Amino acid sequence: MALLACCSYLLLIVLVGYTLLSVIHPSSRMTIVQLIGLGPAAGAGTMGLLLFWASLIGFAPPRNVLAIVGVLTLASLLVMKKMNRLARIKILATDWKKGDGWVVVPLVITVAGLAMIAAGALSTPLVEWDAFAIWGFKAKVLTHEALRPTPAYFHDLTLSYSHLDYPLMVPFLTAGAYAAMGTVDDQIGKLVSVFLDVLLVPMVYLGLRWKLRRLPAACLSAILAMLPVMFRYGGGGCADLPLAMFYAGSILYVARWIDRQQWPDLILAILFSAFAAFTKNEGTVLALMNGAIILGFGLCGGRRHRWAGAAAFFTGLLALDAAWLIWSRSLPHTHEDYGSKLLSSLVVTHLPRLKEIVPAMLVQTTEFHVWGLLWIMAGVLALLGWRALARPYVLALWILLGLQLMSYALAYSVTPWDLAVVMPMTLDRLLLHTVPAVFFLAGWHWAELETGHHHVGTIGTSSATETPVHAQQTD
Amino acid sequence: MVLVHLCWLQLRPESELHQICAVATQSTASRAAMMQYEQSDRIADRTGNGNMLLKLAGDAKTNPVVENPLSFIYYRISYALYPRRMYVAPADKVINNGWDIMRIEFNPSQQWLQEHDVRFVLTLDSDNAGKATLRLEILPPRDGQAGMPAARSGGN
Repeated sequence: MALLACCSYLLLIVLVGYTLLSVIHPSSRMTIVQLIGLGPAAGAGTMGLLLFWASLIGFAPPRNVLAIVGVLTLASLLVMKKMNRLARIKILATDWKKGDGWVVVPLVITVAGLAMIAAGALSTPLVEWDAFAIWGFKAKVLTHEALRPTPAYFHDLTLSYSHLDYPLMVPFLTAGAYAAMGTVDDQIGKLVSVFLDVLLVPMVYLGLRWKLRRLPAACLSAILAMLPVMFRYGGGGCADLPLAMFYAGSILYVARWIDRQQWPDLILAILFSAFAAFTKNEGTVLALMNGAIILGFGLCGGRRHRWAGAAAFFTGLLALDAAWLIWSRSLPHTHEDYGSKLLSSLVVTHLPRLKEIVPAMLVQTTEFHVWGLLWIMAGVLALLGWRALARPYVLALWILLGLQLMSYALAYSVTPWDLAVVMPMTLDRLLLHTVPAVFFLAGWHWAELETGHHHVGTIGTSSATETPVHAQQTD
Repeated sequence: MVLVHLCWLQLRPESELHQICAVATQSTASRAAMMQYEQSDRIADRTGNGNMLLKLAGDAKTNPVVENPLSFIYYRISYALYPRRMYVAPADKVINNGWDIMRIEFNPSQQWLQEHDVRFVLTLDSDNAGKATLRLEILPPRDGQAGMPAARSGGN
């Protein structure tokens, strides 16, 4: 019964996402991968924020809040259906081409990999230390108490180890599942974690298919699904893969905005950036970087449209995350407090530590039992398809990846922990956040080597201008 | 080639895939790994509606080997107990790990225990080999009798 309730909750998230996409892209065409990837990702982020706002008003996630969300979603779907504004679902965005039959091989590998991750996760309760001490603990607190008045937990320094100031997206989504089940069962509750984590694969596939043929995009997605680091952390109950998943959406739509300046792309960029910022503290930095890139490329482009895009991005981001930023302002920080340290002179005095950190990060990328040949493959593809660097969206993503790696290296430089201890423990998980950018860059450089794929417009590409090389594709 | 390499990586006996299979099929190794979780969760289950105090005894107060199991016990039982509490320090003391607990050496008065509805004391000790042992005691009702051992758990 609890399992059924949890599945119903996940179905509700999918419906919320479908509704949201139909609102952003009325009457558009949505492929199966968008339905099972983009829709649920958008739905999950929206549900997390809705539960947070409801809790701020004084409702700990009860079933009736979920029921209200369900009724409103169904009503919206009915109205949009009547107005013929629902996104229509189609199986394939582009015609099946010669050689595409081989897609079944990477598809089977992807499904098998994800199924194993799910099976492994669901066979145990929360066992990862961070999963129960930080994220699972918060989910329990939020299940029992609303955020108004602020629960004692958030100011209890003896629980500082659970990082009282961490964002609450994953805990709220888990608390929603507990509410739907009517009980706190962290083993079944891990379905939420599995759901969020495996969504990274279709999100990355969507980004790859924007520019890349079906078969190579499917192969790259299978590589992602089979990464040992995915097996290691997938479904574990931590927030790193959900962050990577939301971040994948944000950088994909930032890139699309830079490429084509379509407002729906910007809206999705704002949404996914806001979701990322509400998932982990790193997400806030990544969201601001997205905004800075939009602004920077707007300044270079010089068109008023792009300036307005940057203004809209920051306004939207602030509007969605303002409640969290204000509410969390008074929460006690741990001795880590990277936010304050990175804005202090400590960054300068600790710069010499980079001599230790950067080589360790480079060595980590060659840990084949963690990453396979991913980083080497990405480097080779970038070299072979170097002409893609002339494209603004590829350049933007390289800058974003560079900024992300730099910010993580600087965070390590100010950490209060012993680097020799903390880096081996956390580096693979931090680099996991960069995986979407690495895959997109690998795919988009690969696409530069390909020619002559016709454009098919589905969500977000309907008015794109076709280019003979690096054509727009989506599936 | 990259994909084949990844598939090959998962075929190794020490791969993540093998570990997942071991957990899913409840192998001896995975059951042993789960024991410390089950032990902590059982302790939390035994405590009914009251709160709990975690105390250190003997070598556990200073033995650095205890730090890791101490952190685990505090994190895990705090999680399992919630909304009830496991106390290890006054609320204004920052606890980030087991060292902080060892450093504070919290020893509250009877009045404090009563005010915080503490009905159980979990004592962590370490034997000569440095192995941590746990002992759960039920605190007497307010009129004050000696504590009664409720359970003795194995190492952690």
